[in-house]
Formats: sequence, structure tokens, C-alpha cells
Amino acid sequence: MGDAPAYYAEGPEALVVGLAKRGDRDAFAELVRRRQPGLRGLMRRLSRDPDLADDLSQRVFLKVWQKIRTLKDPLRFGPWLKRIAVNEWISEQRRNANEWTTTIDDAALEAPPETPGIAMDLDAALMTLPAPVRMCIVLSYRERLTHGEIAEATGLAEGTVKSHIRRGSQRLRALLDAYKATPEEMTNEQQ
Amino acid sequence: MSSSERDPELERWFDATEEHLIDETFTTGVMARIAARRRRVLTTRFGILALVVMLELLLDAPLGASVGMLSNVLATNLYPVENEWLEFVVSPVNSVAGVLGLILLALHLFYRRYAR
Repeated sequence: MGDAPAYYAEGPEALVVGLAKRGDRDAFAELVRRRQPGLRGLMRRLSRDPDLADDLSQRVFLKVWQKIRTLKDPLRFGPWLKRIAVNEWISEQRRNANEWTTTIDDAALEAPPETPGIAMDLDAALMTLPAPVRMCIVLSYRERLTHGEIAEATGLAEGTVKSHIRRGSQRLRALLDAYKATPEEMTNEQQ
Repeated sequence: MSSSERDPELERWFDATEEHLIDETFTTGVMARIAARRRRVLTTRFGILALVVMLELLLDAPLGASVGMLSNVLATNLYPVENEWLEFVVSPVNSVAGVLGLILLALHLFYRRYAR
């Protein structure tokens, strides 16, 4: 990586994307700099393991570099990046077949939380959700995507997205409420 | 729940626990992976090119001889015709290549007529 011109850091994203599309590696490094907090945060919410999350994020940026010439509208870079990230995560889940299931165990979702202490840690609470439900919840609450946008990014039907978010929210809410109800237990568990 | 109706408590939970990850090492790592991949691609392309050149050098003579032999066989007349004009008229079918062509044409017509 050479010394990028100073204006890369201040330039509008569409311009930097345009330069990266033409093969400018310094411009791409600037995009990585700008987008890494969001992407790594998303991956950490989805996978909890920070090392895996960073590895997946790096793989996503590698794919983005390989495909960036195919991006037609530089203004759509954000949603495009998000779609690649979601696909990469789904592929990773499918590689570990046990993690990814399209049939959701209703009983597991509706059961009362066994360990209220888990509620203090959102990432741990998210890990109690089946992978597709977790993905929809994170895209809705963290990325603020609409159901339609989530359906588009994940390839799930909009009705399925809606149902996953409703049930996932109930589950998280139950964990949160359980935590609020038993703060002493929480403190004990922390120790 | 519609798209805009998220649980406000959960929204606050997400916002409150959001990490702000900015790390130059990460950027360097991504760019190093890109460079490594580029090196791999270049090495593979160079390897394939070298292989093609090597095969070309090794097989040039035997391949040329085989092609020459085959074209001689295909052009061989089946029946010697003395008359120059008659030879010209029957030449499309009076050779190995012509007969092979006719057989293929017959097979094709047979396939179209009966096999479909």
C-alpha cells in the first residue's frame, strides 16, 4: 500500500468507490478503513467469536475487491457490501451445517430462558437464537433494515423474515426481562 | 410488527452495546490478503503459460506429422477416375473424407427422421 493522497480520506464515498472500481488500491484501502467498523460489528453480532468475525470481514472485503468492477452505482456501495457480507456469513454457516437450519425449533424459541445471566450480554443472548433468526434480528435492529430489505439481502421470503423477527424479538425480550428481574443473580454469575 | 415497529427496549440494548471498531491493522491485513491473492493468480497464470509453451515445443513435430498424415488419408481417392471432368464432378464423394461426410449426413437425417 502506498501513501494515499490526503483527499481520499475526506472525499465523498462515491468518488472513492469510483477510484477503487478503476483498480486504485489506495482508494480501496480507504473504503476498508471507512467501512470496517460497521462490517466487523455486524459480523461480531452474527458470530460472537471476534477472530472468526474479523476473518469473515476480511474475506468479505477480498470479495468486494474482486467484484467491485461489477458494481454499477457507486452510491449503492453500502447495501451492496451488506449483501456480500450476509452471503458470506450464510455460506460460513452452511459450511458448518449444524449451525444453519431453515426449520426453526419453536419450543426452543419459546422456552423460558434457563440462565437469566445471559441477558447482560447481548451477543450471548443472540447466540441462543437459531442462525437465520439471529441474522434477521441483527439486520433489523443493528442495521435498521426493513423486512423487504432483509428479504432481499438474505434471499428469505418476507413472511419468513417477519416471523423470525417477531419470534426472535420475543425471545430476546424474555431474556432482557429475566435479567432485569434478577439483578442479584446476575452479579453472582458475573463473579 | 411492521418494519418501523421495532421493540424500543431491544433497540436501546443494541445501541448501548455497540462496539466502535477502528483498527489500522485490520486494513493492513485486508490489503495484504489482496496482495497475496494477486501473487497467487499471477503465479498460476505464469505456470499455465509455461505449460502451454512446453507442450507446444514437445508436441509440435509429432502433432504436425499426424495432421499431415490424416489429411493425406482423407484426400485419398477411392476409385481412380481417368477423365479429368468426371474426376472433378465426383470428387466430393470419391474420397475418404467425402464418404465420411455422407455417412455423417445420413446418420443426421436418420436421427432427425426416426430418433426424435
